[in-house]
Amino acid sequence: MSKNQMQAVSEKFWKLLEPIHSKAEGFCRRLAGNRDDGDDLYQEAILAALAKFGTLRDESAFKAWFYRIVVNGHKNHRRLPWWRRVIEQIGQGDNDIGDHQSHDPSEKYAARRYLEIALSALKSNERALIVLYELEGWPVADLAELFGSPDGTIKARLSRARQKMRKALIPLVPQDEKNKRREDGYELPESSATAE
Amino acid sequence: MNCRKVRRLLNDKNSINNLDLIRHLKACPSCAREASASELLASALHQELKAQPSPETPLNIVRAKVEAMSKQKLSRENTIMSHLILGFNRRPRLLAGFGLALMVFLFVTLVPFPYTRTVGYAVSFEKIGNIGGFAPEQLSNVLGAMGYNDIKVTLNGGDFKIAGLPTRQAAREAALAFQKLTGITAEPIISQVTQRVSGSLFAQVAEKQRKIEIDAAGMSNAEIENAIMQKLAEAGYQAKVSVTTDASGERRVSLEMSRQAGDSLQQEQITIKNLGNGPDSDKIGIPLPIQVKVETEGKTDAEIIQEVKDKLAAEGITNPEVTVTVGPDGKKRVEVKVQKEEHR
Ligand SMILES: [Zn+2]
Repeated sequence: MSKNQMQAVSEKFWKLLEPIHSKAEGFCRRLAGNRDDGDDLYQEAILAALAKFGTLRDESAFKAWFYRIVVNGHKNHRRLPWWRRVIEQIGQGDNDIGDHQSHDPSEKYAARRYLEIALSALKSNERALIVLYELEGWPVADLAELFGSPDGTIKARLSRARQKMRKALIPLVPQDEKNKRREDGYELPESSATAE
Repeated sequence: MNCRKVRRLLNDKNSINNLDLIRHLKACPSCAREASASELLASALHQELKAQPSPETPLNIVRAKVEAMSKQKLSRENTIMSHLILGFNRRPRLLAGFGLALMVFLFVTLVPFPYTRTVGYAVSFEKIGNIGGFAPEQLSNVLGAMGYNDIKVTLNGGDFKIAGLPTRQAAREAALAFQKLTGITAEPIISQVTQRVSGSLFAQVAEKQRKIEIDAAGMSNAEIENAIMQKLAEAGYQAKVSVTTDASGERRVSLEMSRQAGDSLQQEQITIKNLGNGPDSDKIGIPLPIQVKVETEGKTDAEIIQEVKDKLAAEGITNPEVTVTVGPDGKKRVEVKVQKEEHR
C-alpha cells in the first residue's frame, strides 16, 4: 500500500471516529474514573484501533468495534484502588470528569465517591457494562452486540453487577440515615399500612 | 415475600414501588439496609447523570496527540520491523487437476517499538538551600502513611526532589506535605516521569490466538523459558528458548521457532528485549508467525504479489513490499518486507 493509500485509510478512520468522539471520550473518562487516565485510555485505544483498522470489514460496525477496543484496553490498564482515585478527584477540579450541580463540596463529591466505591466492586467488563447502560444510555441490544452475548446474559450480568455495587455500599448506609429513609422513603400507602 | 426474593427484586431498578416489597422492608431491617444501599446507588447514578460533563477535547487535538505517540513508536532506531524471505517450493505436479496450494509462512520478527508513557510524577523544589532540622525520611514516612510507598526523596546541592509519585494529585499532596513539614513556601515544580515501553504494531495487530503472552513477574529465567516453550508448543511450534538477564537488569528472550510446513522446516530467530522497569516490564509477548496461503498455479508474478498483499492486508498488515524472484535453483521466492512509514 502506498503512502497515499495509507493516508486515505487513516483519514477514513478519523472520519468514522468523529461522530462518536465526544461520547467515546466521555465513556473512557468514566471507565477510567478520572479525566487524565480516561484520556490516556482513549488515546491508546485510538492507536490500537488505527493499527488494526485494516481488519475492520464492516464500517457500520465501527462504533461497537471501537468500544470493544476501549473495553479491552481498560481491562489491561493498571487500576488504582478506589480510595486513591477518590483522593485524586477531591480538590482536583481539573481532573474531574464533570461538575456536579451542588456548591457544597462535601455533597459534590459524595455522589462520585459513592459511585466510585460501587463501581470498584466490579470487574473491568462489568464496569464497562454498567457505565454504558446506566450512564451512557446504551440499550441492552447494543450491549449484546458489543459483548457478543445474548440479551438475557447481558440482563443477568447487569443484575449481578447491581447486586455487587449495592453490597459495596451497605457499609456506607448511615445508621440514622437508614432510619430516616425507613420513615420517608418507604412510607406505605394508608390502606396497606392499616391492613398489615 | 421472603428475603431472597426481596434481594432479587432490589437488583431490578423498577421494583421500588412493589407493595409486597415495601411491606417486607418495613418488617425486615436487614433487607431495609440493602434497600438503603440500593437507594444510595440510584441517587449516585442520578447525580452523575445530572453532572455537567467535562469539556471534550477537540478531535484535532486528540489526533495530534495520537499521531505524536505513533511517531515515537516509529522512531528511526526501529526502522526495520521485519524482513524475511519466504521460500516457494515448486513441487512437481503429482496430482493432476489438483491446484498447487503453496504455503507461505511469514515470520514476523518482533523488534520492540519503544514508546513513551507517563508512569508517574516527581516534585522538585529548586535552590532552597539548607533545610534545618528536616530529614528526608520524615517526608517518606508521612507519604507512606498517605499510602504512597516507594517514594524517593533526595536533597542534592540545595535542590530537593520527590520521585515515584503515582499521580499528579499525589505530587501535589507531596509538595504540600513538604511545605508543611519545612515551612518552605517556594513553588513546587511538578514534572511527569515517562518510561519507554516496548510495544509492537504487530503485537497489537495480532489477534489473541496469534500471540502468546507471559507474565514473567517473579519468575526465574529458567521458569520463563519453560513457560514460553510450553505455550509455543500448545500453538503448534517447536522452539528453542533462552532467557538471559544482562548487567543492567534487562531481560532478553531469544528464540528459534520452527514449524512443520509441508516438507520444509521454517525457522526464525526472535530476540525480545524488555525495556524499562515499569509495571509492564514483566510481560512478554511473542507474536506467532502469520500464515498466508496463496495459490500460484497459472498466475503471473503480478497476480501473486497482489494476492499476497490482499491476504496480508486481511491480517492487518497494510504496507508490505512484495517481490517475486526466481533463484538460481529455479525456485520462486517471494520476499516480503514490511516497512514502516518514516515520519522524519
Ligand atoms: Zn428480609
